Amino acid sequence: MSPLPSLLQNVRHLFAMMRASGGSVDLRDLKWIYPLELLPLAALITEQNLPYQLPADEKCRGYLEYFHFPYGLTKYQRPSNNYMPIYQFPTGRDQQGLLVQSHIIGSLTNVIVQRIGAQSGVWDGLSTAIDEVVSNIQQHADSKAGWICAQHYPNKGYLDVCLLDTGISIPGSYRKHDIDIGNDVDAIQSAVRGLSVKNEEGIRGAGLRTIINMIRGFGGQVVLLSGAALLHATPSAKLYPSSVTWHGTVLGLRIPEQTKPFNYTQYLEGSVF
Amino acid sequence: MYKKSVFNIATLSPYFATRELAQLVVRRAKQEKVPDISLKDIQSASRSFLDELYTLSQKNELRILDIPEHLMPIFNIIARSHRLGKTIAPVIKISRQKLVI
Repeated sequence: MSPLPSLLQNVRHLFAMMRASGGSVDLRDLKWIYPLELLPLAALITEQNLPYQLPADEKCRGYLEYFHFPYGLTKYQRPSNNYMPIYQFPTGRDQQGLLVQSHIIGSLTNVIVQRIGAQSGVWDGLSTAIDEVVSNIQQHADSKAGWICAQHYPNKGYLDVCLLDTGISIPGSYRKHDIDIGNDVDAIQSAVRGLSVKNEEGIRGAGLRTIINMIRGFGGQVVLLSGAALLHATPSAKLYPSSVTWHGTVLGLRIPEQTKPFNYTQYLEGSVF
Repeated sequence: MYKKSVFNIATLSPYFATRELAQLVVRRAKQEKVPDISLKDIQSASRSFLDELYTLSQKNELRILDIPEHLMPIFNIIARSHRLGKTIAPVIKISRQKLVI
């Protein structure tokens, strides 16, 4: 199997587009875009009410329309092909919000599992990882909504998922709880080591580590952008200062199609990579 | 007269069980004054959900019943973490880069 293309290429493209956008987002020259680039732009346009210009290229414009770019959907609709449109899901704690969120995320996870290969254990591994992301958004992000979209690339043999929030970021969450963590890169390192803002409430701090390990278990990649720090995890995990600050957290996952049963339990503890 | 003694999470029809959902479940169980919470027919529940449920059920003296077989490995790790008083989780080795992306 050939190695997966690096998600860092998508990060660089996203950063270039974000740097070019001042008070508006100009996509006229765009020919192609990936979920990790598409979703942050959609969230920025929607939440900051930015003006935007759609691509001149008809195919690319159609692609964005299919994704319901930029505002997304707020109720689940079964996707009819390889694109899983943009969804905004509520992060409130009331029963109705929780169940709407549960419906959107759970249904999308089902579709994703079917696309990457519904082998035994794949659902458990993927739902464990995605649930941790959503739990983090609910618990720590101080964001009104979470965002998700995904696309399967059958010819390339992988699927991309992007989830994000526009809240206070992981470094911001530590600062809010008066935890001295240094700069944003130090903060992400602390988060990956398991430093929780809620240690007093029980056994915490497993979430981010579980996400990274599980996706690596699939042979995939993780990109995490939070504040001004960027983590890229393949079998190795590298942490970079980021030239663009994201007010919130963006998580990009690239997961290869699975052809064998997946023993997710071996990625719940210990050091595998 | 029949008295309900179990709050079955499946009655909420969750597609996905997050940490916040565990808080809702315990709130509902307390409102309905039932001593047990059943995980029967739950397709997916993450570590966060089970951890929260474990912590809150201990605090509120509720029992967790009918844990599906496929969730037992996570549940066992959570129970072990609480017994030992430390988080059992993967170790991720990170190398810090100077290059700004």
